[in-house]
Amino acid sequence: MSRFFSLTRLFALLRKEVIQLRRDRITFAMMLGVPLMQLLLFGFAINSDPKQLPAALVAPVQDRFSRAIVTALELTDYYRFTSPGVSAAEAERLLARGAVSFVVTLPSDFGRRVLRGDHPVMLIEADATDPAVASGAVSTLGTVAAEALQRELGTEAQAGAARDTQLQVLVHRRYNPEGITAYNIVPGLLGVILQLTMVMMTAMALTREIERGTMENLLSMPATPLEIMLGKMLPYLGVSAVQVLVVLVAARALFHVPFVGSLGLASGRHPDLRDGASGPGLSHFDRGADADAGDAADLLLFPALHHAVGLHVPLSRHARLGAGLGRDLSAHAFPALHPGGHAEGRGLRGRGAAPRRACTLRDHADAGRAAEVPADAGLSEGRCIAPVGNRAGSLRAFSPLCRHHG
Amino acid sequence: MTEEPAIAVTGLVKIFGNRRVVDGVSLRVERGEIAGFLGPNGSGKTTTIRMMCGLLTPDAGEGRVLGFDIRRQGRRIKREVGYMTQRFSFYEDLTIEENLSFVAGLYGLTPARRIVRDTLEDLGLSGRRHQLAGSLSGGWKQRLALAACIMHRPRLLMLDEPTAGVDPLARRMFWDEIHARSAEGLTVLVSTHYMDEAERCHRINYIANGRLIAAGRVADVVAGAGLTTVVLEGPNTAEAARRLKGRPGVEQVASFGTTLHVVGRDAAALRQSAEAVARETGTTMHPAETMLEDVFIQLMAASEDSLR
Repeated sequence: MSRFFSLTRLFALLRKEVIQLRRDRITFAMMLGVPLMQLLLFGFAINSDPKQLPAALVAPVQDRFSRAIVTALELTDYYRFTSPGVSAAEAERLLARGAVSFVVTLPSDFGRRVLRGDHPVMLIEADATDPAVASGAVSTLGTVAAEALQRELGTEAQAGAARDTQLQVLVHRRYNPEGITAYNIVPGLLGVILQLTMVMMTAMALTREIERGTMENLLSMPATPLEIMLGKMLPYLGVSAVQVLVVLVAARALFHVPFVGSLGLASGRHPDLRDGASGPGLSHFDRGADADAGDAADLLLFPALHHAVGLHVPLSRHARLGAGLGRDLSAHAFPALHPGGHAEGRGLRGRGAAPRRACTLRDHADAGRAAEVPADAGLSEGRCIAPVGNRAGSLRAFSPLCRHHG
Repeated sequence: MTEEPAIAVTGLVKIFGNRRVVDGVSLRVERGEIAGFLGPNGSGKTTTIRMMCGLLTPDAGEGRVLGFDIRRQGRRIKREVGYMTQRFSFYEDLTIEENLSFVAGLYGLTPARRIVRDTLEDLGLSGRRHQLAGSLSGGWKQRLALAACIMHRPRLLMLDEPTAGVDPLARRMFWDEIHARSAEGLTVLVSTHYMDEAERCHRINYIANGRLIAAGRVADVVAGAGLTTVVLEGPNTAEAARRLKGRPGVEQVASFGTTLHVVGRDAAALRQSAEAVARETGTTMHPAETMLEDVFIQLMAASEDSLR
């Protein structure tokens, strides 16, 4: 029993705390639910080496070589050809919508060039919105495809034969050619930040009204529940609009995240603002203490936190268990990354889709003109493939000029 | 329509869980009357008031408040009633003026600015209009709450323990205000624990364990209880109190400074016991008027007995 520390006093405090914990059901949820949920999410749902990524195949001429390539790619387990034999334009749309992660293009003269040993080229466009997504799949690509062709030609024995018979695989990292992680994380964080702050703030605001007893007063005056809810939510809508603006401005100023369209318009119409609305609904069911509302808000935030992880470990890398949940949420929270779910032309992908007139290898394939392209056209050097860069000066190794399309 | 009483409810029942918090309460309050609503803590006063102003739907019973059905016309009732909650329930982080403007807006009062200014003057709040409600003392908070309740000129005021924690002077001023409004035709229903406040009401209604057990004018209620009171006075009242307990006819013994109030229903037995104790302890005994408080303690004890 000292003046500064007494076990009796400490014990009294501990006892009181334990009793309070026992009476608080939310604590139990936090104690059991949170670890379990986190374990499930992080343990099962996240896969740092995603397999079975959807891919589209653009091959005007289907021959044994294209089949060999497709089979070899599928056997790696990284690619799943969900849209085989589509047109180049269709493939572009699929990629822009996020329906496929890869577009594999084999020019119409692919088979002929293979047989001739005349610099066969194939193009793989990877959705690099999330720079990490493509890396695993792409890294195995070159050797797999080359070996497939060699098998098909029966030239395995002379591996490493003449250079000009060797397959060249061009890889385009679309939408984010430099693989800048900030482009992925910064817009994604927008959703997380809004959920964190808005859900908390609105839930708290309403609970506080009940806690302080002012709700009783409000209800005894001629205010309808709808008016009260709206009155609670709308100001936070304004707050979240400011938050969106801050994030967007910072994204542009600090991280140079590319934008398409008007910044003001985007911040005003951002679907994330709806997050602000879930708060009051939440605390409506939770008439407990302020802390409860906070806890409940935390519970609601889980999926969002999960997705925050998903920012580092992209959606497609989540195993199927998590993908459903993740995709649902991401459609809400990350329109920029999944334009298929929401507005178009505002996200990275929209930006990537912008240089429409760029001449790509697929243009040739699609137009069936590949055969007319002279051998010196430099397809194999990638010169005909226009950049899809986001920033001036960030252009990859391609010449901006295409000899065939001016 | 105008002859209809301000409040006429019958058989109100409210059940929370398996507890009948309000159990068949019928109440009648005439227009322009100040009705006291009395009863111990947890007796169902607040719940009854909430049912009458449309905040709660009764599980049984019906009635009309200001001519509106309490089940179907809650919105109309809210418009015409000023309800002052037990706990201060205005915004502590708003100033007095901001609070009043907010209320004026909710009731759609126009011109809001002038009505707020007049209300501030009326209740002597003008000097503090820019003070945050949270920084006000109990008396001023209560004044603000009252101002907010009467600003929309309600026809009925329901005050739920309005003077809890308020000093005597502020309480006096508060009641003067209530009486002034009542004289102008406002009907007031006020719940309270204080007996002096109950005696300021035209009529009182006593509720215990969810049941209305006495109603009427103060004098009638006191007379109706049929109690006799004697006072013992002297230096040794503590000893006298100890000896009085359990004697025939003695039901309540309460010390008030140097005097002892002894109350019972059986006047003869009470007098006999009191005289005996007075002789033993050397105190003097004289008859006294029964007070409302004595009646209530009697009623409370009786209703508790009936529960057991």
